[in-house]
Amino acid sequence: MVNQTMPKQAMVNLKTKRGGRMGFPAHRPTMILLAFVIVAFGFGPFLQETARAQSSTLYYFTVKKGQLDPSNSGDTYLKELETTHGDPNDDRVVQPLSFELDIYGITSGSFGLGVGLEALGYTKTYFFPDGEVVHMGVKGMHFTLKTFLRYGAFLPFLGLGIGNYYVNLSQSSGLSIRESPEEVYNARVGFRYQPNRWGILLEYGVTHAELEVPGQQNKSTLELGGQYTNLGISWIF
Amino acid sequence: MENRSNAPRLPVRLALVGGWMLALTLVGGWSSSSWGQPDNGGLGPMSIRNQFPVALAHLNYTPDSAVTLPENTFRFRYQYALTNTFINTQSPKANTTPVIDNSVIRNAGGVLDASHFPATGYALYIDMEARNHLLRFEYGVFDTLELGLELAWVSFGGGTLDNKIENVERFFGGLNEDRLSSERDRYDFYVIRDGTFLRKSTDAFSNEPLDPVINLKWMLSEGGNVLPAMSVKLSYKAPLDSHPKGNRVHISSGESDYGYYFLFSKAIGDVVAHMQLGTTRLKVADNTLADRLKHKMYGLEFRVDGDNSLIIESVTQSSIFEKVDDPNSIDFPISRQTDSGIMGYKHKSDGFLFELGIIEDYNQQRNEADITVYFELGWEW
Repeated sequence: MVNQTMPKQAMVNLKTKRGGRMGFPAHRPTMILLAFVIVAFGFGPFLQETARAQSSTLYYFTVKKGQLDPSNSGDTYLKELETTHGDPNDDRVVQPLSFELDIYGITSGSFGLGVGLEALGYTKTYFFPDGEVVHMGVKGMHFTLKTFLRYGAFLPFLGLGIGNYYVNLSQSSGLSIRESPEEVYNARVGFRYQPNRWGILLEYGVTHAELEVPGQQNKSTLELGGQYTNLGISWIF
Repeated sequence: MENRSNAPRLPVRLALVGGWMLALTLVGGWSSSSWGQPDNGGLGPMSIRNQFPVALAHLNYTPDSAVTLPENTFRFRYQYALTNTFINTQSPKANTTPVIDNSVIRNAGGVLDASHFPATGYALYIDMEARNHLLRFEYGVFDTLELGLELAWVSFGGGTLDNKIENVERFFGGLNEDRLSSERDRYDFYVIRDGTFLRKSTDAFSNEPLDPVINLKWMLSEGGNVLPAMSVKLSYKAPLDSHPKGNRVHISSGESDYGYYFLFSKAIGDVVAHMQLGTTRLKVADNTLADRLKHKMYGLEFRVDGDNSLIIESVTQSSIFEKVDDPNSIDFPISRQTDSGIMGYKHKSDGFLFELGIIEDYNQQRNEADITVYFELGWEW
């Protein structure tokens, strides 16, 4: 059984290194990403009257919580750590929290198109038997084009998009980086049930956001995405 | 930890799901007989190239409308962009050696030399404001083919905005503290790699011409109620001089570059979604800068009415600095990609065009401009 208490020195190392050695304010991307969503969110009410007058445009704001599993992505970073430090205390599953602004345009009949702007984040810490600690704090953004069908309050959808991911990754033995994968793709399927202003959302998807971890001899990779399932509460405005 | 490395990799599954979605989109489109002609291009994304001073010497991607001009239509645009940049890879806060701050510059008589920078790898000391005057001429050869020419004149100097930018950054809690160790409104432009300067300038200059850029945009489809507007854009930068002299050595590579970009946009109700991907190939000498830039843009255009739009977009670009195989390179992560947010307003009525925007980097590793404000005026006839 692995001791899950983080060694004191390791905690100190992580605390000092998480912000990065370059003095870059680590919270800045978070603020900007949030601002991005908030501003986009704020445009909605401003345009609402215009939208009603011109066509059927629906704005949804959804808070989602789910499970993300990158374990079968084929990445190598944690596997290589296993060979050196032993089995970590936990599996790869994380529970991201995400906020999404969806804009749906009702085009004709029951078929429509939408676009979603989503900000998400999660953290994960692995403890290895020899005292090594790996911490990752991940933030991401998805821009997803969606097709949907409308059967009354029931709206199944498919989505495909791109995005950006950021990770603060630190090892107690020395590594401390802030990185972004070059390519981020995202596909999802799910449905909304929206009987009134409030509704629920259930979706399954796959995100590809593979990072080549710098400073590693074997060009290790770390998947920040993976297969995910989300349950959300949405509000239409 | 469970090892399931034989499972299909994510891109394969992505392709499967993406194919499914595309099929549904096509089937949905035909079955609903909804091949109408909504304005999928909108007024277009905020249209300004990357203003990082190091990158100005090379071709770069400019977000552009996925819809071409109608046949036999002209468009002329003038754009003025003001960019403030402060980067010091050798700042006291960066915990690197040697350190560069105001006292070091003063002791060096105002001009740094190679001994003030590390002997290996990249190092930057950039403290400047750049003013960029851009003229764009565009012509619709056919409804689906557009030709364009870009001519620009650039000024580099100390500027006047350092104090204001520090106040704004402080207000948002994102102050670049490296700025505090430098004299305000000073002009310094140093980029060095392995002891050799790629840029070295301390004398401000005005209105030097950038290399001209020729664009060709081919609209594959203007889309419909279901499909997005889709275009391919090719850009080519031709050097004015193969051996730039004087101040132009800082703003011209003396080489030709080219780029190809895929532009998509889709009107969804009163919002237009813009998504663009592309690559720029740079002709550069070995061991200087990256020879390939990858670009990604996505954004939302909120149509206030037919003439006015509010736009917010994110532009991601791979670094112009090469990845260096150096164990210490982790301390100089300037080879990592950058992300910038662009927000602004666009207007078009009776052939008159107006655009006002601001660019703020939100993810950079000392390899991107800090802030750009710009406006554009244009006429279409």
